[in-house]
Amino acid sequence: MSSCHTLTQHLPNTDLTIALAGNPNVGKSSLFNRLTGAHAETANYPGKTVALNLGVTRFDGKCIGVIDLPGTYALGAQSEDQQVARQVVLEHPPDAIVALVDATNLERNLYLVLQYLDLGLPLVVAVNLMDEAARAGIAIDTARLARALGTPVVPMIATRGKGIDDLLATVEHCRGVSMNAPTPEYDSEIEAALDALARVIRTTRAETPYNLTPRALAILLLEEDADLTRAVERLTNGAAILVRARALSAAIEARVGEPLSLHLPRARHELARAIACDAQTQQTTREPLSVTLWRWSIQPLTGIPILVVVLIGLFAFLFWAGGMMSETFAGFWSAFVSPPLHAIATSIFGNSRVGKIALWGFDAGIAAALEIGIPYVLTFYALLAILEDSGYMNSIAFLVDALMKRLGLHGRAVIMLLAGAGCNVPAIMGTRVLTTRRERVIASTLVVLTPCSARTAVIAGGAALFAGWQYGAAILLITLALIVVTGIGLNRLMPGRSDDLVMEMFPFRVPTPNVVARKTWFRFREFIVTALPIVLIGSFVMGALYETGTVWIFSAPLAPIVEGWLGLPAIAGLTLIFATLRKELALQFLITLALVQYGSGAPNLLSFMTPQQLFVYALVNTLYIPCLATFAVLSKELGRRTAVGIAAFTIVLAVVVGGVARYVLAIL
Amino acid sequence: MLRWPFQSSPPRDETAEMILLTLARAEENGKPLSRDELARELDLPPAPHLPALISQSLISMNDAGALALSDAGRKRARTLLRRHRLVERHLTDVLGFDWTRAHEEADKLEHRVSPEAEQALADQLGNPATCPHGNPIPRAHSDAAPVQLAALADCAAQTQATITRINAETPDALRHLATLGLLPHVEIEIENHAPFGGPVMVRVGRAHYALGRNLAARIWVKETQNPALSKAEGA
Repeated sequence: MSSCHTLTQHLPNTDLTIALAGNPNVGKSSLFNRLTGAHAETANYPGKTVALNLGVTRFDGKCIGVIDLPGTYALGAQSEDQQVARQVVLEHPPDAIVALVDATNLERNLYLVLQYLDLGLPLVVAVNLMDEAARAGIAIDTARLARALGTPVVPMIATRGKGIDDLLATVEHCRGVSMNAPTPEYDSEIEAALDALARVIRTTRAETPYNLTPRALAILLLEEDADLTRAVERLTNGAAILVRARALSAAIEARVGEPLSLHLPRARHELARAIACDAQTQQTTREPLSVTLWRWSIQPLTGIPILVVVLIGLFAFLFWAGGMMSETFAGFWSAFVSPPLHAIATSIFGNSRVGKIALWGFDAGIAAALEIGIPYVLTFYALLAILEDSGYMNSIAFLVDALMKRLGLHGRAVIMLLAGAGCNVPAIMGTRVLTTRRERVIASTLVVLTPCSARTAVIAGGAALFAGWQYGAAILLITLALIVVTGIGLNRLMPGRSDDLVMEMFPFRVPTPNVVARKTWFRFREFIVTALPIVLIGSFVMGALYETGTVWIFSAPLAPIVEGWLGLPAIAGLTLIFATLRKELALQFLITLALVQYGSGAPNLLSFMTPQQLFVYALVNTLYIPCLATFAVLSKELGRRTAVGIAAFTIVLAVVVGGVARYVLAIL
Repeated sequence: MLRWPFQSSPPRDETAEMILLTLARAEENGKPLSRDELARELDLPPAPHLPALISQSLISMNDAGALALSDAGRKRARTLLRRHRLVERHLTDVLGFDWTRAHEEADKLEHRVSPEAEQALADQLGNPATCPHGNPIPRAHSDAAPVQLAALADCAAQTQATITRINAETPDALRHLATLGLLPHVEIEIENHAPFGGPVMVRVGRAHYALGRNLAARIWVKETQNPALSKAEGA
């Protein structure tokens, strides 16, 4: 398979490989970071959107490859991350699977462990969060657990690096040693059916998919696993195996009253509970503060005020810290980077147009991307990672789910819209956490309508400053109303409907700095890779249009819309073209072009535009397709057709709403 | 050849049978329907058919327009329900239909199943207890009224309950819930309702899950301990 090649090329020349498996939120990222440090890569599994983290670690003079599987509650064909988690270990069997389990919720976590044991793969269980369990009064007898599971068990506190050496030593020791310890068994009725089907599989002498053991294949077929059923259909004697599986399943169902696809998971849960109860003792303790805080955060009465305070704090910090960093950065750039760039341009191109165009890109372009990128995007990503890692994101999603549902979205999407108020680009990338395409399209459209910090700058520095604060506030209110109406409209119009929420809720945890840092960095790097080239190219093109004077030829075709319908001066229309590069450029260029057109009085915008015109101008600038970088990321995430569709919608919306606003203002 | 199941007995028309079926399902879910709600469920006006059903004493209607099955009506309806769900099982298990298609097809076929065909289907399928969606298949010749159940979405916070049935929309949804430990006969606690008709938070063992309101409305439970009731008993 081609996937073999693509995965292993990320992990060349390792002495052995381990795969990290486990439920979400059990500290898998912490362990992965501890193991691999800075040497990690992210690879998309072929044909899937699920990303895998790959890295290497050194232990005892050996180089160990580490594959971080997606965090899942189970293995199966039901969701893409579950499929990937299973396919990776079946297609590239690692020397050991390290199943990380949460010591505070052993019984739920052992379900996945039992599924890996069912597959017959070499397994080492790492019981993480031992410190949290101790605080909650839970003591776990790892030796007893190891005997019950028939696999080595290592206690661990991954965030503090405790137990990691033990884990690696165990992995190394186990390698090559065949695992003969008996693994847990289901009740006799299920085991009899598994034996019977395994015998049929053995007698057909078929080569089982992925070389699964007959028992492992029997379990998957009796559970009606879609992927494996399809794989067996293709085998020569596959039909006979499937007929036998259905008969066995029907016989058990007649007795227990439910299909095996439900009865087997039930039996597995019961087994997990029995093993967990046997291996742990629970003492009653006082509820930890983190749990109390968590309960407050999800009770409507206390949760909503907490949410309001957190969000205000978050955005106040973002705009304050972002603004400060942005200014510092701009100062640094114009003092230390810009002058040498100008000198270089002059020395190469003289005072020609080419030199000026080059400066548009290399000076203004890069500065622009970094001035928005580093202060706002990087800060936002860090805050987002903290919200996620602490578990507070789930509380937010729980509280606002009902409201977002009316817009066709999950509670989780609220954070994307908020992110959009900083910069649309990361917010649209963030919609990846939404499960269906429908939700991603709705969320992305609403993000695009959300005024980012650059558009807010035009509203504040254009409309509010010259025409009055009421105008600025009116633009924000109109935009908010349009977001709500668009959301409700898309929810009605788009086929299908959004899935119902099924989300684990877990008490707060102190975020792990290295996990937050890594998450932030990976996302930021993606932002830079996507946005920077677009802004650069756009800057060159705009520079060429401006420096050659070509830009003025656009004013005639735009006249009917800009002058006729919106009632704005022609140069205002031109600046809207420039603003596709960066929205706040609209204002900058309005002043620049006005100086050319109207002379030195132009910086006071009121000298050539009325307050009403400024209002319409800022409103249109806020609504129409945000900027090239946003368009690029829309294309990348949703496909070009959808991106063009969303862009066209926002342009039409901007023109219609702008024109209506003009005539309404005229009547008032 | 399949015989017509209701050759000589009224009502013969399918709409009347659909009305009986719809009322039986509503009864199962513990939510009696009014005439208007019935019209919405059926997506056509039931009015022309109601007088005949009432005159045959299969259903009754009070002044407020609430409809109820009589004993005879319930018996007839449960036979139809049994046939519908057996046909669904046949379509999914033997013919490989997906759930949604199976339901639509069964809506058409249920009216054409004779008692012999019903028996043959049940034998061939091994007398299954539930339809593919997890709803119970009524036993032949049983008149027992269904147990009163509550939807998870309607349970007060701090209620302890046992899941009795999950009307998931797809097999995958049902399996996904199963992997989380949300299965019939499992004990859960309703912990908290999000505001404005948002999700419901439940505890299963040590795990907590937020379930969207629509999903929570399709999970049926039997309350084992209701805080309001136990308080009243204590006083």
